[in-house]
Order: sequence, then C-alpha cells, then structure tokens
Amino acid sequence: MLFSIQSFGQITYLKFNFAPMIPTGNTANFIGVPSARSGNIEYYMMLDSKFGFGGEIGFTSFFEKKSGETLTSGTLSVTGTQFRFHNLVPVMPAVIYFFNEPGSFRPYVSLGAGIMINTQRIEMGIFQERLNSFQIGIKPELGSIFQLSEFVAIKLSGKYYNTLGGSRLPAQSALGINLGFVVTQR
Amino acid sequence: MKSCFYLIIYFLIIVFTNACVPDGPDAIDVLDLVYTNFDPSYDFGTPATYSMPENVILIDRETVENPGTTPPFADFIISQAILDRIRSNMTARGYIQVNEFNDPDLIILPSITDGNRVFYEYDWWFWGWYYPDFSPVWDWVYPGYLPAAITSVETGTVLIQMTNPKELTSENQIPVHWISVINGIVSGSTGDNANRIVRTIDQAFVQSPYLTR
Repeated sequence: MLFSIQSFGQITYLKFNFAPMIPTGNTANFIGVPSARSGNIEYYMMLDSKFGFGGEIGFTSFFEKKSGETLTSGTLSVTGTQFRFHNLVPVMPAVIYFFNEPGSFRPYVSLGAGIMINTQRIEMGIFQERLNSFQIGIKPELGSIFQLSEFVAIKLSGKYYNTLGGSRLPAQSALGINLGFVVTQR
Repeated sequence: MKSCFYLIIYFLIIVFTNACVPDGPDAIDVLDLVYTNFDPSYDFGTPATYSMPENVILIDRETVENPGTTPPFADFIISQAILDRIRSNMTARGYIQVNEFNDPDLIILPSITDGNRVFYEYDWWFWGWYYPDFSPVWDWVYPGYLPAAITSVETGTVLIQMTNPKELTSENQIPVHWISVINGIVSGSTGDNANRIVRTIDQAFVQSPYLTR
C-alpha cells in the first residue's frame, strides 16, 4: 500500500455557502458589478484533527447591462444596449488546515486548485456572442467555522479565485465572501 | 430523515438559482442596433452633392418580379421620418441634396426589409424606377470592407446604402462606400417606430465621423 488514510474519528464537513463575489482584474473589465447570484458546496474529510482534504463546486452569475455601447472593429461600428453575462463554475479539489483543535471557534486556511469553467455571453439586439473556456485556477481561502452544536455550524470566509489565461479568454479573477451553513459529521 | 433533509437542500438550491437569473431586455428599444461600415480608401470629403429618392422602398423579396415598375414603399410616416433624418444629418455634414438628374456625386438608397431574411445583394431593379441610369447588369460591391458580419437581417431593419454611380467598375459593380443597418423590433405604434428610427439614424451618423466635408 502506497499510502493510507488514518480514520481520525472521520470528521467531515459539508458546507452550503452563499457566496457574493466581487469581480477583479479582467473579469471586472468585462463586468464591473458584484454579484450575489452565487453559491457553492464544499465537502472536507479530516485526516487528523487539523488537516483535511476535499473540494468545492460552485456557481456564480455576473451580469451587467451597458446602454449605448459602441463596439468598433476596423471600419465596423455597432451601437446598442449590451447585456453581458459571465458565469463561473469552479470545480476545485482542496486541502484545509485548522489552526486549533476542535472547538466552538475554528479558524482555518485552505487552498484549492482545479478547473474554472467560464461562460461569457454578450447579447446585443437580436445577436449574441458566446465564449466558453476551461481554465486552470487556484483558490486560497481564509475563514473560520463557528460550531453551534455537535453537528451544526456556520462559517464565514474570504476566497480569491484566480485562473491562468488562455488563447480564448484572459486570466479571470474574483474575490468571494462565503457565508455558509455547515453540517458536521463524526 | 437525513435523505429528506438533503432533498430539501437540493430543492432550495435549484429554486434559488432559478430565481436569480438576471433580467433580460425589458423594452423593445433596448434591442435596437445600429451597424455601420465604410470604405476606408474613399475620401468622404470629396463628394459635394447627393441625391435621394422621395420614398423608402420596402424589400420583401430578393428579386423584382417586374423590373422597371415601381416597387412597394414603406409606410409614409416612417418613410418621411427616415428621409428627413438622413437629409438633416447630411446637411449638417456639409453635403447638398440635388435632383437625381443633376449628376449627384452620391446616391443614398434607404430601404426597409419586411421579410425574415434579406441579403445585401438584393436586386438592382428595386431602384429601376428612381435613378435613370440603373442597369440590370449592375451589381453592388463593398470596396475595402465586407458587411458580411451580418449575413441576414430580421424583420424591422432599415438599410441605408451610400453608393457612387460615377465609379462604376468595368465589371459593372457600383461601389457602396457606406452602409448602415438599423435593426430592431417593430412595435405596434407607428409614432414609436418613427421616433426610434430617427434616434438610431442620428446614432449611425454619430458613429461615422468620417462622413463630413
């Protein structure tokens, strides 16, 4: 056997997060409006009392209406009201580290790395331009779990998503605040 | 009990996600689109005069069934709103309107589509009733640019072509130096349609600052 997972009481955390996001960098250049249409689900399995692994899958929908925008390309100009959409779907395995032993207040840091599925869409008049891109991204997180009972907790954290740019879409980034409902199982 | 709890959570997530879909267009005028393109090699400061028909034709097919006969015209109020607005913008840019028999430097041909698909290469003979020299062997050409970014347009489109019959090529192609496609949803109100057309024609000239003497 190459490795083994010690069953440390096998504590698991299942988190349902409301996750308002603030676009930054290239993402903000496309849509500058923060979004509350965002949520994610995380699952972590503890290897010992402080260290665990798991992952996150989420969804964020940015939207901005831009009136009277003129797009120019060479000799071509098009003016109209743009409806811009940008959906982010992070699918990221992650590791988590708690700074203290199990208790009512458990600050932690986590780091995720995986895939960010980007869908950008511009609707203008009866026309639509759509761009899909899978990008590799990372997600550092700093936060804390507040244990309310043996099986129920809430969490508050800040995350920063950052991806590597590609030929189809430049690097994307966003800052997220997570307010979550946590189900703890032992 | 536990599976029931998770089902409720998943259900709430789906409901929450659907409830948060961003709103789309809430009025038809936000769907109005103004497209312009031009020949970069042409000096728009050279021509001094232009002519324009007294009616805006209605293109409801790709070819004319009876060449030389008068084609159908668009609604009178809409037609006049289009022609007046083109005229006022051209005057403001320093061009003088003349009769089509007075050797104009440019001919502006406005039309409205009434079909689901109308191509730029519509039949010359739509204009056979207007300009005395139009020939059935002539064809449109867009020198220096291609308006192919939009290959077809939907109902409710105003197409304005600025042509130059004096530069007819040896292949019987007449240059279209400037084109504007104004696309939108047709509303039930003629007045509302006319107001939107006026606004969008102004925008076509605003985004074409090279159109000046």
